[in-house]
Amino acid sequence: MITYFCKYTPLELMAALGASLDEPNRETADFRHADAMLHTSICTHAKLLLEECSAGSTAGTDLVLTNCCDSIRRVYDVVSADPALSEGFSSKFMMDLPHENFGHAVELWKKELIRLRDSYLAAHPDHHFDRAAFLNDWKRQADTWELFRERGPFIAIFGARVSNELRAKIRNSAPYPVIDLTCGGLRSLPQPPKEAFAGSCENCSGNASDGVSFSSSTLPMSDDDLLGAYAEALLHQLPCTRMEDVSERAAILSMKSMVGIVYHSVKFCDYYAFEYADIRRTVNIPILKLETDYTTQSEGQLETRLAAFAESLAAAESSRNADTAADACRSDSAAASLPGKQKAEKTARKKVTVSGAKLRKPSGSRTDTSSFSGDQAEAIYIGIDSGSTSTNIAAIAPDGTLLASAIVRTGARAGAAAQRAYDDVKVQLGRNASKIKRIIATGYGRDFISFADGTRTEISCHARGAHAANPEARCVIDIGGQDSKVICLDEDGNVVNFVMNDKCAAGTGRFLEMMAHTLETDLSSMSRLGLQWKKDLTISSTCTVFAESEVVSLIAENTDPSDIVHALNKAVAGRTAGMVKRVHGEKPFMMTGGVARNLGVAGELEKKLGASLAISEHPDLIGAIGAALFAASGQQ
Amino acid sequence: MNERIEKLGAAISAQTDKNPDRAAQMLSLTYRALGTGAKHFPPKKLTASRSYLQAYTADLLAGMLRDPSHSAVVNIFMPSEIFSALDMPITAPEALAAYVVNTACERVFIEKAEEQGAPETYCSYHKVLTGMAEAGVMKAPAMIANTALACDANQLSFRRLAELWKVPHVLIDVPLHVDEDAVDYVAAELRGLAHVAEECAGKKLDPDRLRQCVARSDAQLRNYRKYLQRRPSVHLPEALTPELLNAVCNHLYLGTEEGLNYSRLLLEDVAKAPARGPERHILWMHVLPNWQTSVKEIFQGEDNHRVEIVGCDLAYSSLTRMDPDKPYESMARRLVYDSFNGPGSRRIEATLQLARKMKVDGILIFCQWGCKQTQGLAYTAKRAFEAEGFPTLVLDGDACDRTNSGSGQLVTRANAFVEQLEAAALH
Repeated sequence: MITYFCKYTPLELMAALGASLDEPNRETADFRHADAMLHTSICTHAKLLLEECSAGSTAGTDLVLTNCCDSIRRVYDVVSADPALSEGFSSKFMMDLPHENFGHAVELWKKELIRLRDSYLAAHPDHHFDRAAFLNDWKRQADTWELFRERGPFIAIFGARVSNELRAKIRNSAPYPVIDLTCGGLRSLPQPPKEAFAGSCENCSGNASDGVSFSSSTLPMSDDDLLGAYAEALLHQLPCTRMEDVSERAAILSMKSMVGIVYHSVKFCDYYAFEYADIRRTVNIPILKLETDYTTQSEGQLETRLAAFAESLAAAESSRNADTAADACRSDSAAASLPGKQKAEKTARKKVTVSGAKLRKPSGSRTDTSSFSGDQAEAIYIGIDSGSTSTNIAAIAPDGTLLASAIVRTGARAGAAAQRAYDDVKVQLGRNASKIKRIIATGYGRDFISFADGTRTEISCHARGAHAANPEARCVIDIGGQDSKVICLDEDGNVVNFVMNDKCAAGTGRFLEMMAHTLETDLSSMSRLGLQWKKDLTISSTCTVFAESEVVSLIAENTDPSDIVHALNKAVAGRTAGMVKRVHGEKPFMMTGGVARNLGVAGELEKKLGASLAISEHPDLIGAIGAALFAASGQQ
Repeated sequence: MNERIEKLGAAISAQTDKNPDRAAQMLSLTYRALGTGAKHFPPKKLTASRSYLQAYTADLLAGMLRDPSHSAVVNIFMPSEIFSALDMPITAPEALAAYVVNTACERVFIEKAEEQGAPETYCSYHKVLTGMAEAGVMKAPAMIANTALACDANQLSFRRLAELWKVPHVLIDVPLHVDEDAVDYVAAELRGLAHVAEECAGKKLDPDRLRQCVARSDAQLRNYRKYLQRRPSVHLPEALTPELLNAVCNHLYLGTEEGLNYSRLLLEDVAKAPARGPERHILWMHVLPNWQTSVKEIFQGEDNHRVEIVGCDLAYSSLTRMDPDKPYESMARRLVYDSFNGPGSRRIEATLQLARKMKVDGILIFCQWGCKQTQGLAYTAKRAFEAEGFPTLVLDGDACDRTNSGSGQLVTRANAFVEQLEAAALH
């Protein structure tokens, strides 16, 4: 058996030599072995490979790696330098994959294939090269690729490889078939040349019915020439971004049948970031960006993103249908001039506004029961935003007027916190609580709120709530407890783009909370302190852990706390502004989430963006209000 | 970093968005002044060789920032003789970013690069260069070229730069296997590079001039081999910037008169230097954060008699002999046999040889942020060095992003390493 990981690995050749194939691509709980041998900032897929080697799951196999990237080269070095690891393999081989795909590069790659074949046969003298099986496999792979090119609507996973588990989760949540076009996905081999089959045996699958003509009178290609043709075919696959000519990648993105893209990157693999930025600018179908590190994923965060993506795909489909209808009757010229996405919602959505009614205090001390919120309302709709830090609830009238709200700590159980918040609001509503018609939950804990009638992702809810509070807003910046997100809206409040932070806490409310703890202060004091700075310091915006270490150093140097807080605010603002720019967010900006109450952060963010931020009276309720608005409009 | 430079950096940063031409002009004038100062009023504490090369480098960068249309941007491993023979000035991310960070304005370019898609985990040198291009501060040169050696960032940055600047881009793909087939392969690629460079320079490459340039390279590398023989027996307390200059000189300036002159001055400086003192001596791996005051305080300075850096592996990674009558094969051989090419064991072995030659007490592996080449090798190298009796420190840092390298952690580790070496010397 060979252990491999790269789509340029000559799998058909290895199979024809009698090798079975294994691609380590499973998530791991941790990198306990790999971290002892490799620097932490190495591509996590490379670390996974080393973790599998160290854990013994590759023992006795033949390791075949390609000279793919710095990280993989170093994994091979680590294996080579460690006798225990090295001797665990039956044999090991590093293939020198060229960056070009023509001329001398093809010759170089052909030599590598021959070297690999000879080396494998030397290590396994009882094996031999089965030419017919080789051609069969090659042709089957090429046929698969040709079939893919003719298929119907699909979602592409693009970018860096995904784990088996993540691929399955994407497939399970997607409303269309999912094709993995990452560097670890579908191999796109061109067909073998016709001459390869000349004089082939009858058992070979290439036959006249496949459109491949045979001529037993033609001299067959030598095995080495055949490997030359195979080398060229391998190098002409849909390239990974490590290759020099990547134009085919742009070409495939223009396939009409591609209705959405899940763009994946692996932590500490730098190869795909520039391409993602380009795709964001140029491709006009829903895109979901995911970054993972080959460890078991946070279910909540992943599900939120996948669900939001499914929502945007559904909206895009509505838009396409609306376009078709509009094209058919050609009567709605105004709608036709609007941006394509989600036009259907424009007509379906009820116009609502949030009136900004004053919030009542939680009614624990209420004595006057003569009047309650919602006396004038015919019906009441509830939105619950179950976040990692707090659970926020809003009750609105059908016209969007905010009638009651509550904010409680989420604690360990999302469902229990939601129930507390709901009870609180019901007390505020008093007898009008009986008018509650519908409850929509959002946020990480949305699936654990058993009394909700439906769920929406917080992306959609923040967009809806923000648009209701401030219809002018085109870019919503939400910094919550463990998430920060930037959502771009069109003039109708539809989501046209969004981005969320990755697993890292830097730039979130949790980051500020941790820093407040280090500074031995609280968040409200921190907000005030941040405005009193005198010396303009800078703190790394790269990592929460490093930042904390820097804060400790500054404290040790007797730096004024206000200057440290200001530096932290700048770090959060810098990171957030970077996210805004990555999705090309444009003013007018609106800021939501609890961190919007921090004047220091908001001020620094305004400086970074070069524009003012609109902040509503209840920035932390916007998601809940958006959920309530969905409840009012009957959507879930 | 002193307050005046901080103010200058802030002023340049402020102009970057508003008026990138002005920002480029400010940088150019700053480097022109620096070059003039180093040339005509060299600080007494600097060696003659250092003043000479700083003046040349600062002038070169000033010119490229003012008008890069006749120059090329390359990576540091790109053979430079072809460009030198065509009178095309060249620079590389490492040289440019080292000056930018010492002008205290690297952050604005790093942020610009990240806004346009550069990942946070990317090498900061490359972020500075691509950020300068994205901002319009570094204008399009006549062409760009990079080798696949030594790191992935070249592959990404130069493709991005080609898209931004819309100029010819040449890749020299260096095979991993270190043999004569690889030399022939690279020599053919270099001939292709020469054709593109001729078109961009608007003139034919004179074979005699190319031979002359390769002969200069050979002389320069010979001087460096002599320098390394003499270096272990002398005391040269300043090392961070000089070793960076050596790294630039032994790659980008090969084939130039200035590179050769510098190597001669270096030999004179080392001949005049006082004898080696009682301090501990270390070999540095990879790039050097010459902007970082805390690092300078530990590793260099007239009054520092605790530890001295005697060399950096990047500066001496390929001191091969060159044959002027076979210019392309000579340049190709230098690339293929560079210790940064091939498996990591080659770099480890080359560093060990250098460490023995320089009679060092320990080795410091500097893990530049984003450089998977060095980070990935660090622990394997540490084990190999320690097995050979060289105490080794793996130190994380950033040689061109001041916000990405906490002094507190770094100082503690570096000082502990010096104490470790001192304690070892007592036994």
